Amino acid sequence: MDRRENSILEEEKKVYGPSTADSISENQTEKGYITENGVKVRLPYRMIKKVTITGLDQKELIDIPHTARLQYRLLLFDAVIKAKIEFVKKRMYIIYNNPEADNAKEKMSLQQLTDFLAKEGVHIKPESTKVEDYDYYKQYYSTTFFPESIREAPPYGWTREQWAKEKIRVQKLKEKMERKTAHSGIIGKLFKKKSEPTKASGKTNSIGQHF
Amino acid sequence: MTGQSYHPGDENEVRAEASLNEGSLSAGDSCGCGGKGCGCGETEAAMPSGKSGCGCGNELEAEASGGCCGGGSCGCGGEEEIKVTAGKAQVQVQVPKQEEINSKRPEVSDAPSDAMDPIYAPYHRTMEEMESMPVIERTMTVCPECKLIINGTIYKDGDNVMIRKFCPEHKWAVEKYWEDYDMYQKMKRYNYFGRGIDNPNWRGGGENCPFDCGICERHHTHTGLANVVVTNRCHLSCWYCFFYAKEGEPIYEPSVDELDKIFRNLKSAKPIPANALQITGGEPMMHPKIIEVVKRAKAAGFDQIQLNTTGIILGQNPDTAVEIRKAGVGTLYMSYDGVSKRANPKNHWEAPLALDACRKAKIGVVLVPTVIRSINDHELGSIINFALNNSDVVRAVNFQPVSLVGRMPTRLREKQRISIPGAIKLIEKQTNGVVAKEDWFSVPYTGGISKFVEALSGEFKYDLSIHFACGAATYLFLDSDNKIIPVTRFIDVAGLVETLQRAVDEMQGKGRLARKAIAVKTLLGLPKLIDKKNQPKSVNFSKLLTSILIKKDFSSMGALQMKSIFLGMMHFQDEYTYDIHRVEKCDIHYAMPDGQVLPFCTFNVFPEVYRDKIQKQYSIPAKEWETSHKGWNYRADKYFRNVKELEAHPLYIKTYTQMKDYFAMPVNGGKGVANFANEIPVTAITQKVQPKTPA
Repeated sequence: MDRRENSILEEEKKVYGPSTADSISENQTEKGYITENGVKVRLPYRMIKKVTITGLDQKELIDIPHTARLQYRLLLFDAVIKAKIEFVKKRMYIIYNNPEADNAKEKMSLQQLTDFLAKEGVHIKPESTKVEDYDYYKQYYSTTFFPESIREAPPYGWTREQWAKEKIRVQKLKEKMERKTAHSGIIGKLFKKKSEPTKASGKTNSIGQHF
Repeated sequence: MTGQSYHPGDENEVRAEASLNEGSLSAGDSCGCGGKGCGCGETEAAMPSGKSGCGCGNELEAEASGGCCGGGSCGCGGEEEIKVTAGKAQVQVQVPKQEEINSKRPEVSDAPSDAMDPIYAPYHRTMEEMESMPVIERTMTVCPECKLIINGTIYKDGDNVMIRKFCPEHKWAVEKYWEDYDMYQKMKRYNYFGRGIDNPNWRGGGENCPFDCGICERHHTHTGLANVVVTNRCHLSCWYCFFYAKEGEPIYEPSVDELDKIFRNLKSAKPIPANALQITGGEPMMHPKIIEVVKRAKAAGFDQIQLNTTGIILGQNPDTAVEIRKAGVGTLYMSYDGVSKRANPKNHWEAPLALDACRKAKIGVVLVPTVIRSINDHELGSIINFALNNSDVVRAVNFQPVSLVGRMPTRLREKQRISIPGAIKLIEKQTNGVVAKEDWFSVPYTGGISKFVEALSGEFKYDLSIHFACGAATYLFLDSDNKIIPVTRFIDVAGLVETLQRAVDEMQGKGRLARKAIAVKTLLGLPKLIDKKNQPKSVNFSKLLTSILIKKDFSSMGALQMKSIFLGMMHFQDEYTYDIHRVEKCDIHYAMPDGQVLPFCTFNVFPEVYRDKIQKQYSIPAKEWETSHKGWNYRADKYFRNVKELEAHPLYIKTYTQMKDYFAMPVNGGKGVANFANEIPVTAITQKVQPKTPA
């Protein structure tokens, strides 16, 4: 149960029919998983749809705050996985769980999305609407996990140029230090100072506190 | 997280009625609750004022049942007779009524506040009055009703800093932002922008912030504390909590492998990966493979692993605490809303057992009180005193002024709202000024130290560049003569930060040798910032600072912690106080099962599009859960306490009857803390009840 008001959910049921996630078969349950590197992980979606709509009317979107609210309202639908509306570029895309998708989650058709947008005052022309298959695993799940860098910040007190030159040297120095620590091995352990006693070890320090 | 979110009612209960006088703030008029305790004002009873233990106000029954409430939030529910079949015989036995713990909302009067009372007055201005007040800054916020992004004006109203906002549809909303103008200006001084994340998990762009989250390239701060929800099952049923699955709701409980993937995702962040992890829930101890989960987190490389729990399960199973410690948990982040039963129906009775289990297992404890004005704001001093009494195991108290998530009538909101300075001022009052408001600093103050080390070494360091209004902290030292000394009484903290920042600025663009020279010059100047006469007798701070800054040896901090209690404040936002400038600097992040990473105040303030939505995607419907977990049922998950047995436990008696009131000592002002909780009647101690560990 999400936090939307019951009245809204009931209204949705009237418009869109009963929830598609109400009845789940065992077969569908099994489909909610994927084996990745020999490990079974839950993956609620596989092939779903992405609709890209261009040439939006800025007057209909009103402004950036209203655009953001429309995005929020789209995201309220369980069947909408991600939505992005760009006011300046007059375009939006919605990743949604279409009725034909093979999973047990809430679903929504393009028509329902279009109707919702129309209700919100944003009218879509069929010629500027492009629907494509969207591989949730490859295009979403695999990119949000372990994403690639898009920039590189220098440490504080270093300029970008300076860091570009010094980075390798600093990294080598760091590796060397780490190797040194690792090499200390048994000898290191033999001569290692006793670590600071942790709290709650039952001893008492000089000011009479237990530690 | 531990109870910091306070939801005023079920999702369909509360229609906010913003009701400033002059009728300028009106938005809707009915709550639809039918008078069932949503806080709308349908109920007339006032908050009980400490008459009985748990908060139900039932004094007579409380006496009769040995200090408990006889049917309130403590969950004891009094006693009932049930029939038990033993072989062929059927006997009637007295058993505690099985009422879910903390499931009842305390009643709070929502009678109109006195508009002349300085606490409530800022809510009762006319628009003209508000607009005539000095504007401090402008920000972006959201309409609590429709979530439209709107301009917010932060302004000064007497001693208060307020935020007002205007939605074309839902008109004006006004809320307390910070309850001390001078403190606001002081904290603001060291605000700075961090570097954010070089490899954001979601390319949202950020122009529709906070609805582009995931985390995106606009975010300014790396993950400082990563929260990972390991289950949404909980053994309690706290009335304000939306974090746990209620009966029939889908169960979110990722497998160990799924959690491992989340941990590694967090560790892959650049340039600074998360190093502190909080395993949270629901009740994380209910994850059947929690030990394995912790081991995987440790293996993923987290140096600091916290467990966010009620402590009840660990208190009952001290051996599990040892296993958890061995697996890698260093800190128990334990909800603790007050010393008295009334203020803390959640785990007042079990906390002594949990502390003892941690003491034996060598796990440090952070007490986490959620502070709600008119509910437990009178116990802040006594909570600190409790921490000092258990300073062998308690490392910190992290106060969390309430986040009033969900829509709420103004009259109720103004009575329960408390901000960081509000809590700090109450602490000052309740500790005889021993912990004064001047002793607190905002979190970005620490930036000076990490910046200095980075500039010197070229190695990225943890950077707590959060918004100044999100958190505050101080250290208390307990000296040999029981004198409590806040760190600011002998270290010029502001001077230290400024000195280090000057050095960082000087180092910019300089070569290696020049950097070292600047560092040496700076370090030589640091002892001047320490007042040796006033420092605790057992700590040499000059040496400590040098070992941190030169040797980068943070293990010395361990020695520091042994003689100190860290006091923190963390104020999470809600729709009324929402400030997008704050959320884009948040460093407490939730890592999600779909790979997204979300700031605390988008995750929890807009659960309908983040927390609940994503968890639902990755949840298992209740029916499927029942099928795949034979023998499981919702009720079996719940914990039911036996108050009598717990109160007879030697640890309970020891903890709550043998406390010192540090603040009553002449060296600390000589006036006892309010609600000092050595409260158990002697008769209860001498009762010959066979103590045993609760099952």
